[in-house]
Amino acid sequence: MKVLATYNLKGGVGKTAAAVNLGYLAARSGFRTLVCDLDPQGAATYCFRAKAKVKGGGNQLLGGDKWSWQKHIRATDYDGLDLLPSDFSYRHLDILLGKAKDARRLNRRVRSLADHYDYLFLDCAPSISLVSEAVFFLSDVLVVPTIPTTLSRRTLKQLAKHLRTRAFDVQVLTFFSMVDNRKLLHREICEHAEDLPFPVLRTMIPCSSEVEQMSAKRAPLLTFSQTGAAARAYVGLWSEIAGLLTGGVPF
Amino acid sequence: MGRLEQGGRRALGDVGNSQDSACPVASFVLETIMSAQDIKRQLTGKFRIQRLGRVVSELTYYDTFDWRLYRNAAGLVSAPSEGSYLLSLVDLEGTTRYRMTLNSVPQFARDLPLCQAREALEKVTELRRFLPIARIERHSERIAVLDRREKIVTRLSLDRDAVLGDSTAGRLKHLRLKVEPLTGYRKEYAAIVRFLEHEAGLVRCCGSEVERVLVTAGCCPLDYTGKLIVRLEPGIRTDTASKQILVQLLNAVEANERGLRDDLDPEFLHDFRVAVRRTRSYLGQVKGVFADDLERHFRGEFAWLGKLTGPTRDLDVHLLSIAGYEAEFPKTDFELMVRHLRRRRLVSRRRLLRGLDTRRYLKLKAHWNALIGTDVDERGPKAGLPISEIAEDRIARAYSRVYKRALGLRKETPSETIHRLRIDCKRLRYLLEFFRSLCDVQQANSVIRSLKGLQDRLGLYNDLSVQQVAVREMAEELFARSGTEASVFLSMGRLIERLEARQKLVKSQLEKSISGFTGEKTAEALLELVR
Repeated sequence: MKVLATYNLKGGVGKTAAAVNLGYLAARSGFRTLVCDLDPQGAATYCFRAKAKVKGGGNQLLGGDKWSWQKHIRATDYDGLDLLPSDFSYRHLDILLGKAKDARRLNRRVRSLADHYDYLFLDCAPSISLVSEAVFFLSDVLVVPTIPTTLSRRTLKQLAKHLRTRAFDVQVLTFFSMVDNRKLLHREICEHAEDLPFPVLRTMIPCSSEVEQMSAKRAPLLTFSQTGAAARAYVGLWSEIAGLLTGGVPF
Repeated sequence: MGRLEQGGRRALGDVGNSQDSACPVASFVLETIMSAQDIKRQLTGKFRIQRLGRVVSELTYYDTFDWRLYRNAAGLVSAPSEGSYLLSLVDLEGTTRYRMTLNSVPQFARDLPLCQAREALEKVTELRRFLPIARIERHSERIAVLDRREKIVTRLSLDRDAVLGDSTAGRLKHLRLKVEPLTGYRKEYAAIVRFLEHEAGLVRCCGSEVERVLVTAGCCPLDYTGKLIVRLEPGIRTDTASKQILVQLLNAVEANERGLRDDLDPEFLHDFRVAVRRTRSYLGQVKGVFADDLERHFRGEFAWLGKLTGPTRDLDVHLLSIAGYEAEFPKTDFELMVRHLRRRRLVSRRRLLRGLDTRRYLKLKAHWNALIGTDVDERGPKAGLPISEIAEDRIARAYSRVYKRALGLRKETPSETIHRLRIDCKRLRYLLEFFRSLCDVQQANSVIRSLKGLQDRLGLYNDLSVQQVAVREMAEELFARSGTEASVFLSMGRLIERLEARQKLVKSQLEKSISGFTGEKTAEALLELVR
């Protein structure tokens, strides 16, 4: 099982859209996929039309050993794609994790699903906290959507420094999100992708109203738009990521 | 994963992530299209329904020749999908346990990408190839049951299957309604099933989905097994019992011939060879059933057939075992050795196929069939004796022979003696299998188990001898042809050394297996058998 976390310190950069669409595309490719919505806002849960409620909430997510994630997983409307819904109590996850003093506990929870899923996408809340560090610890890949702006570039550098200082062994892949080619700054930053501290995927997700439609239609983009620029970009992004993860071997 | 045992009716169907392991897919019988429309009307009145459209899919069901998937409560189904194939490992109820999209349908489990399903399938199917056994066209009308958030909580499918590729192609054979549980929505699933059973009055389908498809497509699941299963009555005449056994062995020869000719997997040749050897062994050990000249003639003919298949089988074993040494040799040298062995196998296979195309082979099968396929009493001196009497005598003698030879084994015992012990063990094993139904099954199985341990070691010892000879021959052949790098010969020398070392180790372990077999427990079990 490969664990991918869609993460960024900044909010509103397309983390949830990435988790929902990449999860959907992974399942459509035949992989058994789970999206875990760790964001108390529950946007991914909303997109999949599920109820943002987990019995026992964040307390149980990290707590008692008898509690099983599998009991709370819900099938989505799409074959092979399941969801662990969000819960509003996840806003306290940091405090809970501080009490537990053990990021490994979250890791154990996640790894207990290894027999059941090929891909697990963690949709993270925008922050850099104990939860984020637990995610860095347990993920195989951090997928970091980045809007091509100066402040986003600065945030990436902060993240790189933090990962280096704390010696987290996690692969980071970033991609440009919400790209607006009419803006000179966007164009310049995209052209100088090598200045960023992490490898940048070739595919860029354009700024598109179709992506915003996901929350109105409560569905992954590909289910209602097959040929739009953003939909095609997500397909390209997934094939790029899958190619890197499987060494190009078709699965 | 540890539960994956061939022969069990569990395990493989447990692999992967079922939609909901506690709730299998529920299938209901529908008599007519009209009843299907009626059900849809009833559902619409009671639940929030969304029609998901119609899908036509072409499904191909796969299994190995000896039904290893079905025996392990599973099926493998492929469906073309957008230029690739969606391959599903399903349980017998038809619930998908594992799905993957592939560029082509794998021929063997080892062709699958590394995943949990491959691991499980490799354990169960080993060297056997997936064969397409049934092709159907499924017309599905898909319906979703929604909750108040308009989230799908249960899926239903009205399926009609038409068999493809046979004389009844295109005819719709089955109409049924399937209710698929979704993870986390068990209550909703139960409500739908309850409604269909109690209010709509539908009847659940009997038997498993996979079985239904296979039977509809004209297959007969479990119609072949490599095991010899004969039920004999103790009092019947020896010639009658012998014919029952020999007919089954001839069936096995014929069943495996096609796969052997097409070289589908090495197990066809193996099973063919075993059936021939068992026949020959029977004729050699249970003498006096047929007229003497007939017995002699057929013994000779089956010996010829056995000899014909020997070299190819030896090379199959050699190719399989050499794969285990790959990491220890330079890549180019190893590839050259494998290429050479493959070439030799090709030559020996051609010789084998030529043999199978001869009039001698056709005559052998026809005459043998004519002899054992009739009910007439045979003229042999022992033909009229009760089979139990013959069985007891033969098993006791064969055991005594093995016992004496096994106890005589020493460190310095030459390979030829070990080879003879191997043959004696094989004869005893065959006798126990021929006459298992006349014995206490538990005792017989216990003796066979203990004998199998010894046989495995002796077989390995013999294979290692054969392989050393084959590598030496290979070296001589390559030496005769100029242009082979010296490093190849050095690699071959190293390979022979390893084979020798392994053979020595196997020999040192023989003592343990022998003491296991000649111990009191086995002796007592055997005495019980022949008493």
